[in-house]
Amino acid sequence: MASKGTDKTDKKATTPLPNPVKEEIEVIEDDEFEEFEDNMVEGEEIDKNQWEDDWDTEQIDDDFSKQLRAEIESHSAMK
Amino acid sequence: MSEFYSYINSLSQSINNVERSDVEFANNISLTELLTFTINKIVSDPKKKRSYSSKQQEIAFSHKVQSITKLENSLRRPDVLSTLKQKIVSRSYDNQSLVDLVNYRIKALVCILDNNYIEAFKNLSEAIQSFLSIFELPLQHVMWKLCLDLRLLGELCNISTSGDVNLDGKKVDYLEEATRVMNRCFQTTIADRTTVLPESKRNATMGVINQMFKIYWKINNLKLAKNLISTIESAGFPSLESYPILQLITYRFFSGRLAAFNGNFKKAQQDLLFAFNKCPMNSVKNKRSILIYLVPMQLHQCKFPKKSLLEKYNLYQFTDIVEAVKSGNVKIFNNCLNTHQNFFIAKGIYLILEKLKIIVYRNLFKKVHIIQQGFRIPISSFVIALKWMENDSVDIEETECILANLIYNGYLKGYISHKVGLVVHPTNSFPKLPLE
Repeated sequence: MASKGTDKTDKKATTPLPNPVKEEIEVIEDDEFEEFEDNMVEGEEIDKNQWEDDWDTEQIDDDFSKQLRAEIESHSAMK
Repeated sequence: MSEFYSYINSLSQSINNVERSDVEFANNISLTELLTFTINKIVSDPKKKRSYSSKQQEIAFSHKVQSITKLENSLRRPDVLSTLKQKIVSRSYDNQSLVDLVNYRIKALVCILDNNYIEAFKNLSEAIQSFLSIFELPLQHVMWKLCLDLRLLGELCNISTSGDVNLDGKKVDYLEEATRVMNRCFQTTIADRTTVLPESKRNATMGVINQMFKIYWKINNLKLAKNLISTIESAGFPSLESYPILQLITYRFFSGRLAAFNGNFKKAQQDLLFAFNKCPMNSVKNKRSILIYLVPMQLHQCKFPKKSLLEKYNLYQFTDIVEAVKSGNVKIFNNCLNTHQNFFIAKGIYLILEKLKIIVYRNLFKKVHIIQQGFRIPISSFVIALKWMENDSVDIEETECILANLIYNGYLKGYISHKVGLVVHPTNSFPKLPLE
């Protein structure tokens, strides 16, 4: 199987997109997992419904999709 | 004077009652508070200071440190050991070992007060050695406490020494030294061959392993962590669910991270989701830590965190990336990876997130398909989309390459025909995610 398309060698020859502004020096906290206190109780799973899995729809009426449509249609029209 | 006797009395009482409850004894010999306090005293970088899980904990810790400091002179008295010795009359355990344990622990404490951390480390290691000769259930809390304290002390030694070298000329890593001692604890627990699992010393194993995990991640030796997991999850050990839930949460946090690191995303997702859901609500810092690794795993399963969840745990670094994957916005996806690169790399999830790119392409191309309709889509439509999203140099070959990758990985059902373009499956062109 071919390697990923983005590995193309001639990529360097072109001007890259302007880079987004880099963040100010980001404070990356120490991620040590804390000891639990003995009196703590198991969580109540209130965050359980915080995940979406019904996003994969056929609807494309968001702004990004509209722009994509305009982009494709304008280029196709030029041909 | 009276402080001295009340201290000796409460200590000997908790030792003599240890068959009924070892928690009190574990709390009595705890050095956690003093160690936390001392680390925070000598560390100037606020990021490296140890945090308290709550205001109450901070208050409780400072009370304990105050009472220890008050006892300082008593603990230095030459007769502390002989007085204690008379008082310790445990029926079930070897009294001399108990006295040794307490004695070494008092020495360690005094060394910490004297800022002689290396000597404290040696004494606490000796205390653990004495403890191991009498270790039985129900003394597991004592073992866990000793392991935790040795880890904190190892950290303190590492912070305070800059150039201690061993015989080979290498710098001594006291966290690594601590794992050697803990490994003896681990070996002692697993050596119990009784088949009556509820009575087995193996019930103490997870509490020891969790402390070792924390060190292995810090010194970046995940291979050793893997060995611990294969032991505790082998036959002849109590089921994971039979361990205390708070220990199991910590355990699955680390085993999940290891699975993620090894590319076993499905297992990682299950472990981390369990840890996240069960983690105490008031342990916000831990919930956030779990989420940092859980979100990438959920994204690979195409389960997207709601914005409110990311906001609740202040994980704004993920907000745009989640939207980008969902909508197929390759440009924003690339920008996000770039913007938060340092954070993602520091957390070890950069490469995992980068692998989501194929799903972003899938979602983008699915939209192109919907816009263009029909079962034959000119490759040029995809080129236009990619040029718009990535850069102007994208050509047909590169586009076909991405399409071929999507087909090969099952994200897209169809084939590329150089005559007509992309020919897709009439009813199931972009199979439902996550792929089986």
